[in-house]
Amino acid sequence: MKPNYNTLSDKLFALYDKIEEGKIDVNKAKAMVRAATTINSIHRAKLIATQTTSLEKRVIFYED
Amino acid sequence: MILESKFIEGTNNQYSIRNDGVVIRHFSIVSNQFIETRVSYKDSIVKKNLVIRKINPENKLPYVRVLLYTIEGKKRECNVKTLVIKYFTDIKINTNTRITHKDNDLFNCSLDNLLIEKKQSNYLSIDRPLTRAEACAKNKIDITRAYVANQTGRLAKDLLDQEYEEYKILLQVKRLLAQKTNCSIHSLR
Repeated sequence: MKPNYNTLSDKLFALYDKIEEGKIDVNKAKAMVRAATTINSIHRAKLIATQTTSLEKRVIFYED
Repeated sequence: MILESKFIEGTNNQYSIRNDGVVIRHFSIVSNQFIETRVSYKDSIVKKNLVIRKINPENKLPYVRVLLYTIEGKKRECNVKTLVIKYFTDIKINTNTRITHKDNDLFNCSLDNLLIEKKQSNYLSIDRPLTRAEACAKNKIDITRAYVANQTGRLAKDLLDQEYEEYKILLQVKRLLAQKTNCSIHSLR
């Protein structure tokens, strides 16, 4: 399944609960957070790119 | 209430104030090009005027004033309720003193009708507007949209709900993990 915003948020909620209850190893949690940060950055980059291109006008290339 | 009157300072005993809020003029100087300058001794009640002073466009402060013309030709404006409190009580009036009317009639400046309230300082008030530093600290704790927008270098209006929620939970997880492991949040990047 392709990960999207909802799945990442849900996973982070679950991770939050596990860390609070002490059910997960701290080093593993750190690694997961680092990965989540990267995914979040990619998501944001995608969103910014989509918003920027949607605002731009269509570019027409003329041929000789 | 027993009526009592006192001369108003700085008017050379020309004006007096009574404890029912009435200002009396005892004499006046009459002079023009046809009549020689003479003093006319006649008691008369000074007319009160309603003044609405604008503190700001939304807040208006109405009060009743009298205009006192002294012998020197100077015009002096006096707030009637302030005069009554000043001459018939021992209360010191400053910017934190607010004088209100019990029956909400601004023209009834009798000593019995006046109520003195001490204004709470704006700084100590709970409802005061937050300073810039306090607002920033609050935004940081609550992880508001403005804070997330600032952190991600975007405008708050362009921030999508999903994007905001994801960043918020990520930041909460980071903060919790930093608290548990006793390390800096910056090391989790």
